[in-house]
Amino acid sequence: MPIILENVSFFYSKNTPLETAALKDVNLRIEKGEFVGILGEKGAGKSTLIKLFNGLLRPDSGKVTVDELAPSSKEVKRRIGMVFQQAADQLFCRTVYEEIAFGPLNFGYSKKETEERVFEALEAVSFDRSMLLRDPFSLSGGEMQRVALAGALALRPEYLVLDEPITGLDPGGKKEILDTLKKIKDQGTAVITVTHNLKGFFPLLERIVLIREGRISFQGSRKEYLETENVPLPPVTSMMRELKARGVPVNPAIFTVEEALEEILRVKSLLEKEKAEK
Amino acid sequence: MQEPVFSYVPGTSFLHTLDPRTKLAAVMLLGILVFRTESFFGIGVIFALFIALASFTGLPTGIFFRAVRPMLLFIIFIFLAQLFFTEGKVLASFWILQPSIEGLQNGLRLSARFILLLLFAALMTASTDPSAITCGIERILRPLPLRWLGVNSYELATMMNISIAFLPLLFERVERTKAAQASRGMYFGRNPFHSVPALVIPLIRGIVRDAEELALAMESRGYQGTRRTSMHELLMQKRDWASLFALVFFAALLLRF
Repeated sequence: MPIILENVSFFYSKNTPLETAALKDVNLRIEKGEFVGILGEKGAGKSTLIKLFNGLLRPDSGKVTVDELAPSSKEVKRRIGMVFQQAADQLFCRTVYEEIAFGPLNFGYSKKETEERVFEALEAVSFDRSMLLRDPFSLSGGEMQRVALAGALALRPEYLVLDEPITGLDPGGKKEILDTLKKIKDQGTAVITVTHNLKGFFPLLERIVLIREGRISFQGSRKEYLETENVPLPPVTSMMRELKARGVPVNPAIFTVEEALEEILRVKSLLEKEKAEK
Repeated sequence: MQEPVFSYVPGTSFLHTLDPRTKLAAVMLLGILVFRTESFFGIGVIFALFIALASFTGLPTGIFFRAVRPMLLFIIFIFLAQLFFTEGKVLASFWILQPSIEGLQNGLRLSARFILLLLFAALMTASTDPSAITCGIERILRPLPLRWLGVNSYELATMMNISIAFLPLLFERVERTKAAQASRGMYFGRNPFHSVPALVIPLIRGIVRDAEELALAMESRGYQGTRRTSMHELLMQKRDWASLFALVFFAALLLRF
């Protein structure tokens, strides 16, 4: 069963002069095992949207269900693992072990079960066991984010929801997180991420939801997305489109610098071959 | 995004246009008045005054009551302490607790006073730009010889300005951390020994980091804590003096009866 949002609207500061509509009449369905990207500009309502999934916010109208459960139920908090942008905002334990065990202990799992889950989560984020006794605050930004990720994975969620998970990380940290997310998705967990970092995420996304001013302005596959006018694109894809527009016969549906390089070289050799034949 | 607790709502009402010094003096005066008024009738009259002033701002009265919410626990504690630990005619008896009639009265009075104090403060902050408040405080403190204490009124004003400006950000930070911990299955309120560190540790670390960054940014722009010129010099208008006079008159009248 999926996450379903039906005609959901949400307002901040309702019934005050500062009332603002964050989401208007949103319909969305997220299936198990998908890799979904929620895109949109700052203030479009992306972060509000994901907070509705696990009951951190309640819709002012409309209905949210997760596997037919109400989002406020504790079980939903277990099924949806949530990771926010600033991992430093949630780390508070003296060791990485305690940090990852925090979730499972909150759900009342036994010591043994918790330990098992911590080891499993640690492996999922590609840390070795020497990490467990380290002070979370001595870690780099990317490592902190992986600890936060492990903390969510220790609950063995069916859906992993992330809010700008790679913003503010150095390139190495970004790659670590992206690789980890790909692995998690391949093991069958749905990954839903809010991002404006198309460069990093675009190659991974299977489905894209674009939010503009609180409404869903596009949802569909990556292929459909690329055929849509006026949508934000990764810089390299824009460049390939521009090349094509200027008469270089490249395939514009390309999302990474490596692919672009390959494609340009392919076209180059093609052109050279043509020239030689003439 | 954070719901406003003590935040400024821009407007053009009568209260908005008063000099911040007038409003500061009024809040202080009302504070004294609230704690000098013994009778429930008097407290009721002050409450009516609040409702009247609140309606001047054109804002729904409900938003001022949000200022009370964070202090609710404290107020309930005071009420219960008064209720059970005041000697007097015993109202009823539960186990070792014996609430008295005098205790009930004291408790109600004291909690009403705190609530009124918060409401008036909320009224001021809702109708006054934070920078105008600090400007007013700075102007009031300027004649005092604070130098002997190693500060000056400008530094003090800047400190207050920053604290007020960062308050909403602080709440935002609290919300962020709360959301992150709640997603990991923490339930606030069930076990404070468990949940308080999970909230407070990331919070303090974050605030210290923010403060360091802010100090660096300010110093880089030449801040030295000395006298700075201001964009708008404050000027007491006729309506300021008139409002203060009216308030003093009201206070005298109320204390008389």
